[in-house]
Amino acid sequence: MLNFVLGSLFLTLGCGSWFGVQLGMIVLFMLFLLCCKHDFYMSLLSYGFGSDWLSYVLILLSFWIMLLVLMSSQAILDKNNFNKVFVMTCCFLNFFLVMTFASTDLLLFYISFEASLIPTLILILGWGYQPERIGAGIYMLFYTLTASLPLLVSLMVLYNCGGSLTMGLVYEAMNSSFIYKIWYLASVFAFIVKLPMFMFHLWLPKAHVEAPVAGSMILAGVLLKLGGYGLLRIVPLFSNVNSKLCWVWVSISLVGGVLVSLMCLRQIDIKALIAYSSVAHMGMVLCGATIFNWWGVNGAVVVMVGHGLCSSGLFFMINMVYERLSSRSLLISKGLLNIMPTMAMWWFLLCAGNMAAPPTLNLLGEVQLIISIMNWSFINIVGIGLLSFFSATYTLYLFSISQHGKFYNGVFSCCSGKVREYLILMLHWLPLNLMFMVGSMMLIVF
Amino acid sequence: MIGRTSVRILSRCVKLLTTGKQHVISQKVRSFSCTPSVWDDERNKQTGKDASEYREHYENPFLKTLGVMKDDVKGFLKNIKNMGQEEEDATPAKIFSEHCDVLIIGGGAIGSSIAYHLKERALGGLHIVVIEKDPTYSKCSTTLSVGGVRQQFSIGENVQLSLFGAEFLRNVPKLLAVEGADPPNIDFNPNGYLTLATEAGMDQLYENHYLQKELGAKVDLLSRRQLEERFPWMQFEDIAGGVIGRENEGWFDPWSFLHCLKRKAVDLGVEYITGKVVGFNTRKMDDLVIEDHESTIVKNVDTAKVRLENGDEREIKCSIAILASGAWSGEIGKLIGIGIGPGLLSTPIPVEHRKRYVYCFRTEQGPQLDCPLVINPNGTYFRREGVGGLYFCGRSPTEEQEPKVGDMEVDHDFFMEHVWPILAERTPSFEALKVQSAWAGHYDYNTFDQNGIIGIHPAISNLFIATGFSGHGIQQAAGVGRAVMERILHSEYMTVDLSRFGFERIIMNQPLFEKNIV
Repeated sequence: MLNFVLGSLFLTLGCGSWFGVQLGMIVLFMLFLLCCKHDFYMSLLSYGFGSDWLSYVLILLSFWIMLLVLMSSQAILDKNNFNKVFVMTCCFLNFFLVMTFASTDLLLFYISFEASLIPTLILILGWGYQPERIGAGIYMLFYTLTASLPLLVSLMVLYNCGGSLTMGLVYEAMNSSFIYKIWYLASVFAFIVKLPMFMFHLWLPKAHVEAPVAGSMILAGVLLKLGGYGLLRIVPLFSNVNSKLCWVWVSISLVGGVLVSLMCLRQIDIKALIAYSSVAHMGMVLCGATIFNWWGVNGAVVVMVGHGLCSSGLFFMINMVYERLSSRSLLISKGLLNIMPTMAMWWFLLCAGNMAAPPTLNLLGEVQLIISIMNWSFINIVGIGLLSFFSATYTLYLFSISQHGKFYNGVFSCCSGKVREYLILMLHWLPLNLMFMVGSMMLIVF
Repeated sequence: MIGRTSVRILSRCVKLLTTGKQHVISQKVRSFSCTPSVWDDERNKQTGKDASEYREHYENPFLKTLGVMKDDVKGFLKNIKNMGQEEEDATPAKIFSEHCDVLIIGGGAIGSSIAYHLKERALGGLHIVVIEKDPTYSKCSTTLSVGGVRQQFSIGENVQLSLFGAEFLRNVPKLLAVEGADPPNIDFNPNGYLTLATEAGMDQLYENHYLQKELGAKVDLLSRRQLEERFPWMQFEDIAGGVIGRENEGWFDPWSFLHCLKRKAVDLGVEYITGKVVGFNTRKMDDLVIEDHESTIVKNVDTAKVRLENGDEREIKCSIAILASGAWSGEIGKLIGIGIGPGLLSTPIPVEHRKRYVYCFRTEQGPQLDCPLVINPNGTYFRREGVGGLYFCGRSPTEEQEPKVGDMEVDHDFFMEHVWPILAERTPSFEALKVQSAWAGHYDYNTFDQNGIIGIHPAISNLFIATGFSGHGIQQAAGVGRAVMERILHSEYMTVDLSRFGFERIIMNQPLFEKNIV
């Protein structure tokens, strides 16, 4: 495992060659793909690192998305907008992400969890466009930082009680008295905000909208999954309290998911629409992860991977529109079918992924989550039904309002896409649609 | 050895993190910038750089991250310190918008009307920036105009635009009201225009009148006898007939109109930047080809370079650029490349300055409240101003008499020789008058056919042109604003179809002349 972690760290040295770093990402991805040995609890054990089925999938996702991020930020290379610094920032972010997912020690996990915020902040503030990105960066930084301070305290208490923070050997708090409830809330709050859950989601639309394409893709693709991953690691330590308190998270996520889906229908900025849809998807993931039954946990992981690919693809498509039209507003960038018909096909395929149409991974995950959530309580039918319905509504709205209609300018010719763009879209879409055939790979193997 | 290598790597990293931007412009972005014209530059000659009202612009992302957060904290603390007080501090708080959705170049009546109409419909959905180089509007055609509105045109679209203009003017107190500020007042005097025709021009008068009535204008055709009955204080010896507007015609205060439009636009969220556009970066749209020839590859306006009041030069990236700079449109068009490029870009925007004089005189026994804006067959006009015996008058000079446009000086000889005799002949009470004041203004004169150019340029797919109104811009400002808004937001003209006014007619040499009355 250390070879992959150090490999991703030393990839920063190759920042002079954009192509070299992309190649390095692919190589690391392929090599890591070969290490699929999760028939025991942890494999690839090393100094503080290891990987089990959950981290395996997410490390693969982070290498993949980072590769796509580098390919899609070609505009920074073309305009020579500090491209070396950019590659370095992305590689550092990748390093911290891999370290987060690969760490077997909860404190190392926490440190790299926090450390991944800094390159993200630099990406947003350094390469973002609008003046609102200052507020966006501050919101993201302080929401996540404030929420994770109680987690640090809780880790210290866990260490004090149990003597170790290595995953698998951590003290499991079995009681469910009041103080244990506070302890549980302190531990879980950081991931609730990171996921994000409905009432603490304000940082997400701001950060996603104001970030450059690289920032948006990596935020939607991997950084939100940090919350899910942390939740799946911490919740088993507090299983008693969790089974008593998970109704809070389930109710807020379901109701909040429906509300956020309705807000999607009101957006004028395309990126804000996708950002709010991320909140809705992650709400479902949160439900599954806190209910913590078998279907729920698996559904959460599958939706995390599927959403990572799908949202990242949609953000990339919006960036393609932005690179051509210099505007994200739906009032100007509508009627795209007239000027980019081939891209309309890709818009459709990725939108179909977003609304969990077959044969995408999102469908597999959503079905698993529906089973899990309904199994827990029958009343959830209302919530999860409305959530699924509205997710189709806003996705269709997004597709229709961006593609159909007239374009303001009467140029009788079409923009074709560039081959690089088709490659990136294919690399988003192919895993999303083929991996459901190997869906069993993502289930917990006991 | 290892120490030295690591120190070298470390120093390379530090240098990478803190150096400024290397100015390598890739082949995709070409910049056209010309030196600004001489007579325009008195205002922008700065002896020293004053403090900017905008925050500093950083290049390096690391410095940007630190600097932007530092400036944010400083601005926040400054706001706390200055709560309730008016203090000038060194730290500027305003952030310069480097990206916008719609960039309107020129903040006169047309530019502000477009900004108002777009923002009123789009609200938060579009970020609109207007660049105006002179916030006092000292040389703007809008503020120096006589402020008339009439439907007596011979082109249907002109009539419709003015009809909407008049309706808009009547609704200004409701539409342009800003909460907490004085109600808008533009002094609309609906006294009508009286267009007079000699025997030779009667056919054209009938034709125009018929078209105007068909389109809904409330205009009346008067014979010579009816004219003499209605206006006994004028004499109509050489006149065969005339047309008077009953409603929707008259005059108003253009400065107040502009001010109300701008105030409402700013209230809705439009950003006005005081600066002068000195260059553009355009971008080739490689995959959009109109003809199979390199010279007609479609371009897009990518960024505009703005020189601020204190001499700083900043860039604004825009999605749609709207050229509404009035008489300066020809020059700004050249900055973009219209007129100096190959193929479709070789036709320049045919708009230039033309100087026109307006004289204000006082007379004792002049016409009172029933005085319309009278236009004689040779172009001399006069109208009442207020109720104290003041009148405005003027005349469009012939091609030979065209004054030089170098300054804003008024030629009083022109009044003595060419205007006064005509006025005195028409209205005997004007034989004894005293000129109170006079001023010179500039028409954004379309040398091609003296009608507005409204539309997207065929070779620059995100550039709107809305200029060249040659003297009737102020009355069409509201209509043009609405038309551009419809074109952008709804992708077609919905109320008045202005396709005939596009820039294509200039490239294809199909002029759209107003048929004037003689």
